[in-house]
Amino acid sequence: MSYILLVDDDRDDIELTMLGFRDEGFKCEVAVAHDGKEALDFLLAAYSAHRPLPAAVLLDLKMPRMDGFELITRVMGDPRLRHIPVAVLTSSGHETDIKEAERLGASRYLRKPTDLKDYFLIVQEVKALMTVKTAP
Amino acid sequence: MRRRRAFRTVPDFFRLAFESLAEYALVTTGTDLMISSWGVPARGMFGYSEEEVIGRSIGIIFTPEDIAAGIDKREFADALEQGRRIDQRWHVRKDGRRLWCHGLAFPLRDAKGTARGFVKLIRDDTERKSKDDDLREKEERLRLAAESTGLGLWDFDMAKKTFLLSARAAQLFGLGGERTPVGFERILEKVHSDDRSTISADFEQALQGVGVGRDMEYRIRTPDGKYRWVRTLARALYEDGAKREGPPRRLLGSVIDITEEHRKKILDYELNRELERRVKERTAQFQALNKELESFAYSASHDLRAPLRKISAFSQAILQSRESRISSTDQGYFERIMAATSKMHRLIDDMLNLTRVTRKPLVRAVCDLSATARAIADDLRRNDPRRDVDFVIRDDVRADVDCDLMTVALRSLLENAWKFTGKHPRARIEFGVKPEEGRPVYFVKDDGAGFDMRFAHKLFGAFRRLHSEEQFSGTGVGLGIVERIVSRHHGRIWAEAKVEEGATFYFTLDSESL
Repeated sequence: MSYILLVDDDRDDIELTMLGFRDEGFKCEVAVAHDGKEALDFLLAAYSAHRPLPAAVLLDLKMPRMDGFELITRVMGDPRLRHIPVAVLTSSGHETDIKEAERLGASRYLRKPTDLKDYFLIVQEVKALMTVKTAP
Repeated sequence: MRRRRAFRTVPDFFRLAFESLAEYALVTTGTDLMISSWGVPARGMFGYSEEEVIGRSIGIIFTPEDIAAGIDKREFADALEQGRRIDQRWHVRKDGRRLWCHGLAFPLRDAKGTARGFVKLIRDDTERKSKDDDLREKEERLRLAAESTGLGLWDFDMAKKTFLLSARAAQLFGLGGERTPVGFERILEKVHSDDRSTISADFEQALQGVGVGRDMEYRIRTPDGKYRWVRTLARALYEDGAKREGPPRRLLGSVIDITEEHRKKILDYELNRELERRVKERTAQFQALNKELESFAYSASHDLRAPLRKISAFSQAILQSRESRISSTDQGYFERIMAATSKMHRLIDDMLNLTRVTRKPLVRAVCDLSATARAIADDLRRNDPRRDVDFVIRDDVRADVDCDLMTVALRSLLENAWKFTGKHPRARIEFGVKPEEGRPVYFVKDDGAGFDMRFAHKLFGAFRRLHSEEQFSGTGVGLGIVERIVSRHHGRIWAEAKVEEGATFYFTLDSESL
């Protein structure tokens, strides 16, 4: 059973993303981590325990303890994890943020929608990411 | 022998000899001062013929005031007593004109030494005196002028290597009232040690006739130990007035105290520097503050976005939820909440755009503004195909600008024109350029709602609106953004409009139209 890991420190945004997914009929299972550190620990623990790794990681950039940029760096720098597609889901449209995330290895840069209907686009993108089959 | 024949008597010889000295009149009198001989030069000098004066008192050539004072008589008495008497005084001609004369009077004595009369030898110095008077007057005038302006005068003798100083010059050179000639070294001693070598070199050059006439400014130590700034100016005098080569014969010059002038100059300089420094400081402060404000606006608007997004998304969730049973009134409220948040979103977006336009580094390149305008026009038509708008876009308008920013500006202006022609069944929107004072002036012109020119000053302020939102939607930031883009290109923007007769926005860019 494939699932995605959603990393966001904002509980409202997590809720809205879930709502958006639900409204769009996206039935995928979603694991949640509240910062980069928690997400990295989760991924490494899953790897060690031979549990399945998520089909994609959807992460926010501004987070406590470990921010999105560092999480991307850690995942991409880890041979055990670097096959997992990573997408940024954030409210920042800052040019430098987008460029930096891409440089570090993020596959997508998505903006958190204002309109729930726009989660349609997010779902499309996430689905596309999940189909990227890479060997663990 | 021949000579003896030529002059019958010795007195004849002297008489002729004296008479040939045309500028000396020789008059003789008896001891009673009655004229006994009156030579040719005397006739010319005083205008009396021999017949008119022989036997008359010599007093006729004295001025009435001298006669009244007994000077005529005293002169001969003195001559008798002292053997001779030399004087200078006014005499009177027959026609009343006065002559300034140099005179020599002495008694004529016989072999026994008895005085038999007097000889008076007179030279007319009137002309010389008037020249001397002129010169004296000129000198006096110069002295007065020099004194009243505090100007000191000096005269350097090249042969003796000494200065002759006017009282004021001596005072300025720190030499007190010294009037005797002073050497250059004496003056140099008084010059501030920092200025000495320059003065020395300049003076050496002046002695060679080089750089004479150049101002020299330096400090002189006054007797009380303080320093004062003086300025000297020299002129060279040559032996032969026409020849102005080589070392001059004399140097004439002036010296003036310029301490006050100098102090003012320094003060002005310091004041200017201080002002400049302050302007720089304030500008830097202002720029820093501006940057801070911009970054504050940027992050504030950024942070405002997140909660706003949540308000609208959760409101939407409630509205869409199948479980929620809310009344139609409540539903209306939620719709209003969403409309308000979407308005606020637009405001925040515009605020972000405004700060972005200010912060973005300017990258200049040649841009085809015509193509940009055409693409924007196509977008506008596509979004609202029902509108009947005639776009007139001039071909090949190019400029060396930041293409991204100019696209934003053109879009804003064209969208504006599109919006404000919206209430007219047909519209015409024009983009073009025209030369004005040799510079290209770009314009976007429409025939829409226009505005009252009395409010034109409000046009370019951010979030200022000339129309109500019911009339025309918008945040009022668009033109503010255009203004910033234009001013970042060192250009100017202005508008001309009339209510219901359309508006034209003109702008210049600091670039050549290509």
